[in-house]
This record gives sequence, structure tokens and C-alpha cells, in this order.
Amino acid sequence: MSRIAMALTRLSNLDRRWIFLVILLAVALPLLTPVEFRASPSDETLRFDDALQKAIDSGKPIMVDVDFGPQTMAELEPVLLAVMHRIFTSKTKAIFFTLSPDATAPTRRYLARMEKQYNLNYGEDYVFLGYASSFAYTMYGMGTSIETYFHSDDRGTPIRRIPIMANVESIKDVSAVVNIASNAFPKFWIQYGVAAFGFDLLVGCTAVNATDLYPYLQTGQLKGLLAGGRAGAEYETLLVEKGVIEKTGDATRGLAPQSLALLSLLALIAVGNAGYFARKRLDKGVGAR
Amino acid sequence: MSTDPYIWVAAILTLGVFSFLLRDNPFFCAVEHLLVGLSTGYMFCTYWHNVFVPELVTPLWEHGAGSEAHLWAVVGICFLWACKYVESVKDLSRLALAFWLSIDLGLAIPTEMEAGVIAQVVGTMGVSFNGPVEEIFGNVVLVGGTLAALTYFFFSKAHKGVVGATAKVGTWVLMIGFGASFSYILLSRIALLIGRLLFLLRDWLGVIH
Repeated sequence: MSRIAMALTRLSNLDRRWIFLVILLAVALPLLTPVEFRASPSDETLRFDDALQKAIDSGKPIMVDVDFGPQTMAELEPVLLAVMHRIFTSKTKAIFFTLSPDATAPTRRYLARMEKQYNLNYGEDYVFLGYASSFAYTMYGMGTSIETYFHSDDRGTPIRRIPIMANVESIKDVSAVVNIASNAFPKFWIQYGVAAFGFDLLVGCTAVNATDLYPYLQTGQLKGLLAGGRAGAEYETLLVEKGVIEKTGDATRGLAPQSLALLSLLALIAVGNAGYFARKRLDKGVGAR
Repeated sequence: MSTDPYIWVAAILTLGVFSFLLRDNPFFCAVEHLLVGLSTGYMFCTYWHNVFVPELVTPLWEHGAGSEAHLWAVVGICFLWACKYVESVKDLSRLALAFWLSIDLGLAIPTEMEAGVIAQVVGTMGVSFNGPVEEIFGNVVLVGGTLAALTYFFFSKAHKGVVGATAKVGTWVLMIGFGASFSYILLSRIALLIGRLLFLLRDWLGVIH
């Protein structure tokens, strides 16, 4: 018994670099093998898609606010791409913009890819308004006038001259706002946008922000929520089932490494705790003697 | 293996960041400084080209004596901020701070009351106890958990008897909430690692497709 306790104690004092190695292998090995997990769409994901479908059916343009930079691209890029495929396959017009300066370059790149794939006309099928500062004032102010905060689009064209913006004066003229964000902006959209102007808000966020946003989903202030890479994988599966995309993407590819890494972490936490209690027991034994 | 020089630069810099996992080293320090410098430069240029010049300099230059004359007040507030660096007039910077805070709070307080307090209270009070068993159970946990967590922060009565027991349940509710947040953080961090490894193995080395 004491031998096992000693071994557990030693394991709980393991050099942290071994732990890094275990996690690295847990993530890398499933990527190198053809194993791929499937995520069946949850109720939340179905709810998100229903809300997006409702926005598409209304015939009005959809606004998409992209608020993530390179640091969270791995988690949110698949979510944004899935939403873009969903919008553009249904021939819905979309107005893109960002309130985070580091999201400008990635958004341009994603839109260029979509333009090529779906043969879109810039200014007619979609537009990128670029970046606006002072997010709180912009969110609130767009409820009355978009032009006050975006005088021109990302290419410098005044927004009055952009065909897609002809009938869009404020946020009330779009069917929904989709916010794909790695920061607290969805919460601010609820506060400065939904509370004041009552439009439909759909959010794709990182897993870190998920627990902050679930209460708003329950109250209906959020119409749909895709939280983290797993929700991205579920949405990819749903879009494949609906025939929107041919095959799943990086979010689904990340499921197997994520599962193995989490299992490894659980095992490491169990070993660490067992070692802690074993050491306590050993110390007690030494004290008793 | 990629032949794109940008991919190579990104891959080498990624390895530089990962090298910190072994120990602190000059390669990591160089990459760290490069990242901070690039980010600052990028942000400065973005604000300069997208905000400062088109929103302030150009309108003042073109219509400063006419339709955009109100922007001179913004310039005045900017100078008030800068007063903090001059000892004899440093208190003037508080005027700029007061102006900023009053606008922010004027916007934030009513909207937060509406979205964060009233709507949430109504949402909790208005849950239905009809429907499928799992839904009723979920709503009981929601209402009971909220009340228990609130009791934990109720300090006007000693945490003894029923109040103490409810506060104890509230502690568990909070711990479960923190646990859920922590597990989501782990998920996020692993997703970032997956993204970087996909980049190294697919975009750089080309060993997976």
C-alpha cells in the first residue's frame, strides 16, 4: 500500500514538461490518424439554425459583426465559415463589419474566399464596412443610423453609393445581427442593441465566454448561440445533412484530439489528486510514529 | 512541405512560442517582443487610418469652420487629457475624465438595468413548471439554484439554520458554475493548440491534408 502511495506521490510531483508532452501527443496523434468523430447537432445548434433560417426567410439583409483575431481563429474560424456558407448558399444579402481592429484582415480574407466560391458581386450580394471604433456607441448608434458610424465601406466607397445599403438606414432594416466574437461584445450587443432596439441577435463565441451567455439564451435575449469548437462541429454536421456544404471542416477535425486531450487531462487531475491524498496519508503515518 | 515564405516565418515563430514550454530562452523573448511591437504598430496604424484622420483631422481640415465646427470641442477635450502631464494644470484632466465617465455611465446604467437585471429577473420568475419532466426539473434547479446563490450573498442575517443550509447549497451552485467556466476555458485552450498543430502539420509540413 505504501509503495503505491509513494508512487502516486512521485507522480504528483512530475515535472510539468511531461504533462506538456502528454497533451501534445494527445492532440497530435489523432490529427495524424484518419480517426474522425462526429458531433450530432444539439438543441442549441438547431435553435441557432432555426433563427438564422427565419432571418433568411424574411428577405432582408443579415448583418454580421466579426470580432475575433488571429489568437482565437482556431475556435471561431469554422463557426464563421459555416455561417457564411449558410447565408451565401441561400442567396441572402449580408453586411459585414467589425468592432475589433484585429478582425479586419481575416474578415477580408474569408470574404474573398466566399466571393470566389459563390461568384458574389461586391456591393450587391455583400459588403464589408470595415472597422468602427468605440464599440458601445457604435452598437447603440447603429440603431438609428449606420452611416453616422460607417461613412464608407472598407474600400473607401461612401455607403450611400453601395447598392446593398440602399434600403438599410439603421439596424432595424436588417433581419438579424450575427456576432461571431472572442470577447465580451455579444453581452454588449444585448445591452446596447437588443435592449434598446429589440432585433434578433445570434452569437458564435469561444467556449470561455459560453457560461456568461447562456442566461441570455434562456431569457430569449439571444435567439441562438454556438459556443466554442464543439458547437462549430455540430453546425458543420448539420450543414452537411442539409446539403449546404459537402464535407465537415476543421471544427469536426478537432473533436478527436479535443476528446483525447480532455481524457488525458482528467487522468492527470485524478493522478494529481490521488498523489495529494497519498502524501497526506504518508505524512500522517510519519507523524503517528 | 510548404514553399510559401510567409508560412515558414509563421511556423518558425510558432515554434519560438512553444519553446517556452521547455524553459525561458532568448528565442522566445525575441518572438515575444516581436509580437508586442507588431501588435502595437498594427493598432496604432488602424486607429490612425480608420479613426483619427477620417473622423477628426479630415472633417476639421475640410469643414472646420462650418458644419464640423463642433469637432473643435473634441480637440479641446484631447488637450484637457494632455494637461495631466503639466503639473500646474494637471487637475484640468479631471474634466475630460468626468465628461467621458458621465457619457459612459449615462449609456450603461439604464441599458444594463434593462438587459442585465430586469430581463434576467423576469426570465427567472417567469419559468414554466408545466411540460416534460426534464424541463420541470431544469427549471426547479434554475430557480432554486438562483435563490440559494443569492442567499449566500445575503449578509444581513447570520448564516445559521435554514438560511445557513440554503447558503451552503448556494456555495455548491457557485462552485459548479466556476467548474463549468473552468472546463470551458480548458476546451478553448485545447482548441487553440489544435489550431496551431493543424497549421504546423498541414499548412507547413504537409503531413496531413
